[in-house]
Amino acid sequence: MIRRWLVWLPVVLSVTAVPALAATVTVRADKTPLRAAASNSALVVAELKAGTVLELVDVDRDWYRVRDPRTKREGFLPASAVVLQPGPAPVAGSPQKPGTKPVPARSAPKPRRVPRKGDWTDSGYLFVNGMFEGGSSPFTQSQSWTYFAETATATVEYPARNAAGFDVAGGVRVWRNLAVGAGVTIVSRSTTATYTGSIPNPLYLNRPSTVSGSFAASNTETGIHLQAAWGIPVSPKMLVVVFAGPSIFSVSQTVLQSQGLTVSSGGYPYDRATATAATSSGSKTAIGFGAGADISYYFSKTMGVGGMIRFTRATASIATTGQPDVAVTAGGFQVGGGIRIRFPAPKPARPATPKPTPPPRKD
Amino acid sequence: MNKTSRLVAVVLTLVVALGVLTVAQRVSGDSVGAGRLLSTDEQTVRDLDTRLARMEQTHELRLRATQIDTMVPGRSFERLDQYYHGVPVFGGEAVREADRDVTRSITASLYNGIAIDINPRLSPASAAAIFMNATGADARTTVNPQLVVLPRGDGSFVLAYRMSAVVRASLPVVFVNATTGGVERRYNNLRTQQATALIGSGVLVGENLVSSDLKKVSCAVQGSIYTAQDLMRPVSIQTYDLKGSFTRTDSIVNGLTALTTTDLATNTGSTWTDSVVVDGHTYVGWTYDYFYKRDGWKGFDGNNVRLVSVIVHPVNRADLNKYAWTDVADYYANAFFCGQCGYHNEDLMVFGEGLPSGYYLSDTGQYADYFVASLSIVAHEYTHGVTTSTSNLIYQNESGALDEAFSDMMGQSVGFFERTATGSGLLQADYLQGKETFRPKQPGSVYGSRNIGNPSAMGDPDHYALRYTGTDDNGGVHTNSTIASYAFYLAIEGGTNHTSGLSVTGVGAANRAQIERAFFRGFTTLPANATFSMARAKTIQAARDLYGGIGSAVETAITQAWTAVGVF
Repeated sequence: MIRRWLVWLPVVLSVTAVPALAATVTVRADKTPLRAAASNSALVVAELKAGTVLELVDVDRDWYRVRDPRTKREGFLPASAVVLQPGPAPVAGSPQKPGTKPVPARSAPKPRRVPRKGDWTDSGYLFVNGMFEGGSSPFTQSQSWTYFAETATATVEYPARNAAGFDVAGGVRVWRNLAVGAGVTIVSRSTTATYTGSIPNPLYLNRPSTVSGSFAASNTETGIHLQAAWGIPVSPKMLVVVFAGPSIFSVSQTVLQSQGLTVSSGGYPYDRATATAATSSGSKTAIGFGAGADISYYFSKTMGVGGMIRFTRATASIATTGQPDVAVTAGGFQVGGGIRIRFPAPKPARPATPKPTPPPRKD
Repeated sequence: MNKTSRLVAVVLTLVVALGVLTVAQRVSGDSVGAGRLLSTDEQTVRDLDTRLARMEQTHELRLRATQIDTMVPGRSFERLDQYYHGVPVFGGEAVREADRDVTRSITASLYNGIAIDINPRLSPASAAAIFMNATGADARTTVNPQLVVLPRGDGSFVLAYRMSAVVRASLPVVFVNATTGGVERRYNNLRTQQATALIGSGVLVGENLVSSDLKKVSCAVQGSIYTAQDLMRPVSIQTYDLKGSFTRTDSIVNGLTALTTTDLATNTGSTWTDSVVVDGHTYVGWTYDYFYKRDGWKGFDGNNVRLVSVIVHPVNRADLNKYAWTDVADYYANAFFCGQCGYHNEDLMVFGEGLPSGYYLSDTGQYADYFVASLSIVAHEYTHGVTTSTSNLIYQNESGALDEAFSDMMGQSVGFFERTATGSGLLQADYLQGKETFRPKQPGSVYGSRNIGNPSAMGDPDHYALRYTGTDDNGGVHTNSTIASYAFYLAIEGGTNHTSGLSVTGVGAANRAQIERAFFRGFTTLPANATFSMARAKTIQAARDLYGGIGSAVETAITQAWTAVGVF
């Protein structure tokens, strides 16, 4: 069955040549460590003096990514260690003039988090796959009923069969590399079910006739897959996504109907019974699970191609009146490929540049 | 041979086919009396056929029935009754085997030299009154005197009224001289399992029905009531439970009261609790199946026309001493087939209730249980129905013994066909007739009523020379039956006849169907007045027709077997 899940667009975040924001920060104290990453445990790349003014490049929650306008060195400072000021950085190397009133950090507009390398920045995706499902499981159906004072039995073997299908999925990134979404897969297959039966002789005890035959059995699985996905950008154009979540299958299966062997004894003396199968279509919804991975390659900002592999499984018990349910196994190993569409995140609006404070009028 | 009349025209069994001369040579080689039984060339057959044709033209022979051969395609058997100036000649019959338009063989028992006045001086009503007086039949009994030419034992003929009616548990056939009113001949036409015996008191031994194995009862159902009507087989098999009422049984069997649907055996619940009904009903069905599958024969008459009615519980064991034993003996200690003897001329098979605890058969020392308990007994009675519809053998003397023999042969054959086990145990197939019913009670007594695999073990003849020639038992129809049935056994199993010392190479149990089919074909195409010799000839002929002509193992076995029992 071709089964499609959430396909995760790779989002490659460019972390180079990021323009600085139109704001500056002023270091509050001497020996303030400039770190290589937004963490107190990150490598200290420099120690700054109080009053050093740096360009603000990006904001990552409580950390500022800054750049020395002179050396172009970048690094990270805790927001608490600096005073944020709008406007461009002063002349390189010139400390803020004493007496300049710092702008409280809380009053400054909160800058958008700057994506880091390994971040998935797309806002959403849509994947469309043709797929192939293998590894489905054979299943059996057993019936028994009273026939001329004895027990007639029938056993139907439904073979496993690979099948093609269709898959479409979409999702929305909700936090960092995590997305949630849903997909629909439809897989249909036709198989030949074989049955054997033991039909009591109408006239004699313990002299059953064995009958056998086959009938066409169709199977359709419509799967709705709710998935949580984690995107792993490999490169700007390539993304790997792993996903898992519950799967809800609606299974429609041709089965032998209750007491479904219509026995033709051939008339007296009933030594050569034959039987034909009467079938019905049963449906059942079942909940299972699914997990897999997808790899995508984008040849433009929004379009790409990709492939996925998934294993999903559920068991639907289809009822036949007065007989044991038929446990139909849905899902299997799915391999598919198709179109990948990603929806890049909108560019963040530039923070408004505060007007420079006019110099004191000299009267 | 206990002949009752002289066969003026010697019985001829002729085969018109290539190799006829070879047949004759083989027969001669078996020391059969040359010229006595078999004619040897096509010309003779043609001559006899021409003679029959002339008799048909003069209405001395009239076609009564055509019986399709179920075994050889294209063959049929025409039965022609002999008439003398429009009056049927009792026992005069020819059976002409035809292969489409070609006569293949003729088996005939015809009389010539008849010269009598066919105008009766006695009225039919007077004849009926004589019958009533002679038999003690109920005044309400209807008899239809039929004028016949009756061959006498001395070779003469007499005009007589033939009458028959069920009287108690007997079916007397009485011939009353149409001139003098004297009784010329009588016999009991009730085909029974065995000769009736007296019983005496004994020691309680706790007899119970032996047939406790499960069987499937083919029946009709309406609501929660199951009725012993077999709706699955092509013929209607109905089992009636007369609930031990001798009065009602007697009235029904005597044709005074009709069986009704309320007499049908019924049951509620999914398990049929009356084992007697179960055995009787199922065993009749099994026997039907046997004839159908083995011989292609449908029902009694081959065409499923005649219904099969089974009667169980004809009397109550506890009532044994309420009635005269002679009136009820066959309802307790026998089973019988009564062809066309019910109120609607249906065929009745009545199975005895058996004896109360503490009683046994005085002549054998055996306890007699329910007669439906033995498949061989049920099949035996059923086979009487087949015989009645085909050869309709006169139930007296040799033809009667052949009737009984054929019923025993088929009775055992059904057992071998239906049973899963063979052996001497109960419910196992072997050659012991009625062993589930007749069981040892007194010291020295044995199982069964006849042993067709070893007749002398039960005092029955295994050779023609030892045949009973008295008049009891219709001329020893049961006793002498073992001569023929032993031949049947020998043809299958082989062995040495202790009396003649002749050995037979049987076809073996695995090939028993060949012998069964040959005997079926032979015995159902006999004339009514057939002799053992005719049976020999017809079965040999059947073997040739069915199994490769002359010299086949089947033909050899059958020929040797008849020779071993002294029948030529």
